[in-house]
Amino acid sequence: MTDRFRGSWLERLLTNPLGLAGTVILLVAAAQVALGPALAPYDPLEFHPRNRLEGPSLAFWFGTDQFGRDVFSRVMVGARSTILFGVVATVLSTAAGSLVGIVSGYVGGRIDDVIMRATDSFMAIPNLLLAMLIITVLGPSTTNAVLAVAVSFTPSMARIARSVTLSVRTRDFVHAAVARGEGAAYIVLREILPNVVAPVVIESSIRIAFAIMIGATLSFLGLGAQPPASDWGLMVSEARSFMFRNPWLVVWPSLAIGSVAIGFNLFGDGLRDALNPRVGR
Amino acid sequence: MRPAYLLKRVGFIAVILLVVSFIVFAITQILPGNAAQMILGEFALPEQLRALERQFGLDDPWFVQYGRWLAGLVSGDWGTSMVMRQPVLPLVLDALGRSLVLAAIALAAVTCIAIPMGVLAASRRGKAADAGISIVSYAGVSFPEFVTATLLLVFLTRPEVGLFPAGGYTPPGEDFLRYLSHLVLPALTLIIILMAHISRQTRSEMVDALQHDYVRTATLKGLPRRTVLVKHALRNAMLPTITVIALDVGYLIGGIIVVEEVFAYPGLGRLLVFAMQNRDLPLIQAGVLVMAATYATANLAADLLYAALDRRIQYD
Amino acid sequence: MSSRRTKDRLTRRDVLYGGTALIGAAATSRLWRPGPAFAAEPRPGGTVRISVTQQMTTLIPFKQGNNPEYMTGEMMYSGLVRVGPDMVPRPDVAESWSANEDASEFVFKLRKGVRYHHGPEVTAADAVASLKAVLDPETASPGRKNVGPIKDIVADDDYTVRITLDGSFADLPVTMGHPSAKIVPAAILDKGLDTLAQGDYGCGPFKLVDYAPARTLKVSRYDGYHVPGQPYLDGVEQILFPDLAAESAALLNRETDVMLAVNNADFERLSNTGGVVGRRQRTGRFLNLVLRMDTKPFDDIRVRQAMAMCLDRQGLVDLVLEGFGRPAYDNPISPEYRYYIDHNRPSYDVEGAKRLLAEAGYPNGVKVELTCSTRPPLRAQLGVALKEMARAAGFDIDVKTVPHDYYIANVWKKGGFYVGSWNMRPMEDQMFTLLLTSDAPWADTAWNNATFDEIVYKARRTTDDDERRELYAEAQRMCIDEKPYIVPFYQDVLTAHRDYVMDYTMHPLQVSYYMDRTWLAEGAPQRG
Repeated sequence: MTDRFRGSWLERLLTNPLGLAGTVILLVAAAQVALGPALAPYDPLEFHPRNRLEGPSLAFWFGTDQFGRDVFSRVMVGARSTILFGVVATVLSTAAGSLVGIVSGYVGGRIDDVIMRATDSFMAIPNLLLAMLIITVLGPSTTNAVLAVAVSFTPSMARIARSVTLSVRTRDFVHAAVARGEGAAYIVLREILPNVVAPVVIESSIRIAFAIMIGATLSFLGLGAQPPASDWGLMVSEARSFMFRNPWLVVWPSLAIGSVAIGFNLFGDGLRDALNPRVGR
Repeated sequence: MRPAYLLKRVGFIAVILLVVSFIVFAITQILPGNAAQMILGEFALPEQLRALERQFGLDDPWFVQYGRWLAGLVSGDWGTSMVMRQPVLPLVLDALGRSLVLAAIALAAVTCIAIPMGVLAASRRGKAADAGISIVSYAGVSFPEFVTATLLLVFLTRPEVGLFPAGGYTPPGEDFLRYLSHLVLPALTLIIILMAHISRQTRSEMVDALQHDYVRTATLKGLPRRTVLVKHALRNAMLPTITVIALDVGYLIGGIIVVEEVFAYPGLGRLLVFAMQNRDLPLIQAGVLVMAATYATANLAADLLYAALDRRIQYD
Repeated sequence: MSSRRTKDRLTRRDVLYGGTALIGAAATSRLWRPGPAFAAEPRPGGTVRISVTQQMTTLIPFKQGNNPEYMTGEMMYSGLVRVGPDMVPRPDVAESWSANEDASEFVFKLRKGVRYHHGPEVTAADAVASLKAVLDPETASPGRKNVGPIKDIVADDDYTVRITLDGSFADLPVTMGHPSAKIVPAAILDKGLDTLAQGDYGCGPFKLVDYAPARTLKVSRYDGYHVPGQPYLDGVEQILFPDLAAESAALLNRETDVMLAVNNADFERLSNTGGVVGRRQRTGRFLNLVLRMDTKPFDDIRVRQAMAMCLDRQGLVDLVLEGFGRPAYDNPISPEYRYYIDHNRPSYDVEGAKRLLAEAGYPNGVKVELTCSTRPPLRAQLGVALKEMARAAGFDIDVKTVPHDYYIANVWKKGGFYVGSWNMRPMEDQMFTLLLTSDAPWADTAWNNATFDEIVYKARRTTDDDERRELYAEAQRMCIDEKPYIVPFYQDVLTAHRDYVMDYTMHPLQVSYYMDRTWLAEGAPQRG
């Protein structure tokens, strides 16, 4: 069954030009994440004091920054932390959100009420602001920023998981399992979870782009990755002091963030359309 | 719609805000440093620090501080900013006013641009115009606010270009033209991002609407394409789009933080960043609460608007 | 330049240490005019707009602690004395002063007829109450430990203030010029300190017109100022630009006239623009590496020396300061101080550093964590550069950036290896007794060297200039040789203004701007 299913949605994804473009961008990004440090011509931290703030050249393809570091190498190496940030934060929030949502939806009653009021309250604080508040407490670092973004994404993930759980709970196969005398753990894991996976995965594939953008924004604000990291958001932030002397410093990491986010957005939308062919937009 | 429903929704917002206030208060309680340290810096001597902490009431237990703050909130005394030594309420309201002006300008402009774009894309579905608009939209949503804002800064405020001020603010009473010129780039950043949201939403609703029988009927009746698009399809597509626009107000409240920060526009977002950097607890608490209230109100407005436009939906 | 400095030194010695009785009135005869323009006659009128990036937090002069606040305090209020850019104290509300034989008691004579903006005359009782407020721990004034070892202050009559000290302290007239030591009416202090936060009770050259926190501060000319003819300007507006890019753009557009502080990265671009004057002031301000001497690995002098040897200091000036500074060789005292000595510069010698590390028991290098506060961002920049430079010698430095309040609460005075940041002080004594003696309030290296303490306190008591010079030289030698700090460079302070702004003063301490002497030449924009 899986074989037939996979063949069809993958085909739909790849025959949609936008979905294909997204997939290609993501493959390039994945290569950068995996091989970035190997492909970088220089050590991203190495100073070339005689070549400070230069524009693009044969020796330094993207130019150099205020320490004479090679911007191309920094962009290549920075892909890993910038992109993985979004992936890890999304995976964490998806896991936590699914857990909370399924429990809330399955148990119902008073507990469901309390959990839903809590998620409503968290959702009343914009994601970025909530993440900033959390980092203000934990201190700025990449790890803390990942946690903060994961926490700020969890409530909306929980809502999706809960609504799917509510619709599944009343279905026949769940009733059947209850009638068989299965325990709650079995029902949740074997009957409900598989049905929750698809909608949650679609949602999270769309969210990765957003998570990468928030992560970069936090680094830009000085709340995420810290110097001398070559995180793209941090690179834009550091380049601001020199933006009139060497605008390339701003341009390259900006394009990198934008293109990866475009890739994830295209891929996410393509995936959603491919998995729900009837929506056909 | 019954008043009872409205009352319930407003009450619900009140509960949410109470919980938010508690969350924010709890967060500010476990902050590692405090405003007294931030203000005194290296020059602080232990007795100075204690004097300032006493002055701020930071040495009371948390529930005393929370109770005091909540009581003040209800009675209109929102406390005093620790760093600025000014009452918080006018500070926050002034900043909120400036943020709302920025948001309103961006929203008005984007509505005028993005809806026609979405209609165009839907009517040329699959053609070059559609693809072009699609690409622009994807780019718009994929560049974070700070990237778009910084790129605009780099290319439109260079001294040799000198088109716009690189940021800051001039009160409208002082020099109205300068006031407007300070609004252009922050608004443009928000427009670029929102344009993508709204045009994509309009396009997809239009595509749906165009597939409906009544539109086909209208086309078969030989009505001009323009009439079909605007009178029949767009009218139906507008409903969800308006909801998206209202929801975007909520998005704006968050996105505006970075835009204000980059362009040094003294709105609520910038005030909050300042408050967080300086551990100014009363300012953080009030600022987050006002943001959450604005957000919740925008969402309520979206629902009410939707209900008002679509009589078929009954809330009770 | 050098001749002028010598002259200043002579003058200062005459003023402070010229004989048994120390008479300040001599300084009144010496006119000093700041800024690059000397020829033109000041032209009254006009309003200057100054952009600042730091936010004012208070109008209370005793509590002011950042540059825009210092400027505001100096415009609204006056103190007993003012310390010029040459570090020489000159009369302000006090018209003269004198000390007893061993400089343990000073008498300040107040000018008669100095009036506050709101009417009453400034009296000695006001000066006494104000100084007491600065010294009161409840006030939490940054000046409390900076105004000198004061035991008692009394008003002999309406125009005489007598200050008794804890032992000898010849520098009192300098410390009286601390920016927080301003005079306010005793009657207002009785109503509570917060009264000062709400209004203007000063006798300075400008009156407060409007203060919009986090946005602007406006002052206008005070016609009754005690220096006849001054100030020249009708008004000054301070505008907060929390964003540097926006700030420099505003200066270029002639929206503002003066930038209080210019970012190193921006200075060249601004100075090369027509109509803008870039100004550069050498100061004794520095960033330092704090090497805690009671924790590994910096408890070993060889490790500290190795660290000192692997730094290309000129390289750091170029990379971190964009060239706007001078290399320093671990001396917290810069050439701007009276008693500076050049001593035992560590050579840039990576191999030597490696050898020293090996001798100290780290043949394979050593891993250390360097903590940098995010404020000012230069600290992390230095950290990043240091990591790269010290790598060759075997230091594996992990740069950790932390928020400023975390730094203050958990790193400063506690951490083993971090970046400090210090402004220049008006004299050696403050640098040593605030940072380096065993009982210094901000001592952060656990040096605890009794010999050093003794030398510093002896110098404080010594009124003979040559003897004092030798004592401070010895103190500096000890700092450089034992290396509680590595001081890699002294920073320049940069500012920029439009070319029609005249006699705008840069002060190495960054606490004084002399807006009362600034004026606008023709061509300045007409403003309300």
